[in-house]
Amino acid sequence: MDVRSLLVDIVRNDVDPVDAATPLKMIRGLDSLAMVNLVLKIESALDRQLTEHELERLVTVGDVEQLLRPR
Amino acid sequence: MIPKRVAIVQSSYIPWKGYFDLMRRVDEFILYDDAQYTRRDWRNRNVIKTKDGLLWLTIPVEVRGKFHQAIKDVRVSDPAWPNRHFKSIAAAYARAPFFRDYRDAIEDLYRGAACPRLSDINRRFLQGLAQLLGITTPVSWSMDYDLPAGRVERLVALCRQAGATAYLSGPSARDYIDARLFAEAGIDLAFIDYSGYAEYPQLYPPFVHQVSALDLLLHTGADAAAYMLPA
Repeated sequence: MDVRSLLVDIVRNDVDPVDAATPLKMIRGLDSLAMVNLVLKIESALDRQLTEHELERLVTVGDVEQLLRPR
Repeated sequence: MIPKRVAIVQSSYIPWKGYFDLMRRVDEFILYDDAQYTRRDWRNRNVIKTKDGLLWLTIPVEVRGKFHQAIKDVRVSDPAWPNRHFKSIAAAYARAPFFRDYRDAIEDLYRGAACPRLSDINRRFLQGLAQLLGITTPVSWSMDYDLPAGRVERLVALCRQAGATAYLSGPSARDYIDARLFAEAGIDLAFIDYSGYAEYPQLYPPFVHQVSALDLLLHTGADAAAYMLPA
């Protein structure tokens, strides 16, 4: 899954250029409620609930990419 | 026949204010934990507001290989969660205006929360928080009633056995509920509207409605019920 498309879908707007190091907090429109939706989308893609540990580590775009990377 | 309105909902862990709004509007609140446990749902978790954004509080549960278990059968996988959750709540709401008033009551809820079954934990917190919010609606289990087959047939059967004349449903059930079955049973069907809640002074703006009702309680105290009404 393409993380940028996922973010565009969540914030319902275009997203400024991001890289793996971009903090999720810095993405315009990705407020706390949008973060909840992002988590729910990631869980839907993984078909499981994220653990508290995984949620704590969800800080940058790269963290999202890593979670969604096929294993 | 004495008018009686019921709601039938799966139990949730420290849910948002809308859940308690539904509870306070009915005469009996039936926890429908015969329902299947859905893995990516709100049954075992919720979010609170912190200075760093929303924080998820999740009760770790056993799900591996248990694809069709009912909520009533879900068991906790790590009993150390209550202390961790209470510490997170205390840290997040230490500056909330009514934290001191409710700290001991909330800590007591967590101290006695080391139950093996998720349903028991959820009910403990639902009843405890309802009491703190001034809600007196009796809570019961769907497991105490006989359940027929069929999603909506079950709801109608629960209403009948509970002596309900009216059923108040969550809005999402509009997608599947068959109003005809309620009409045939002589039960009025209505849907709660969660829009239009008033905002209250909340730490760490911007305001977020969709957080645990603990947030409402700790920010508004005895006035909490006023914020479960349309603005």
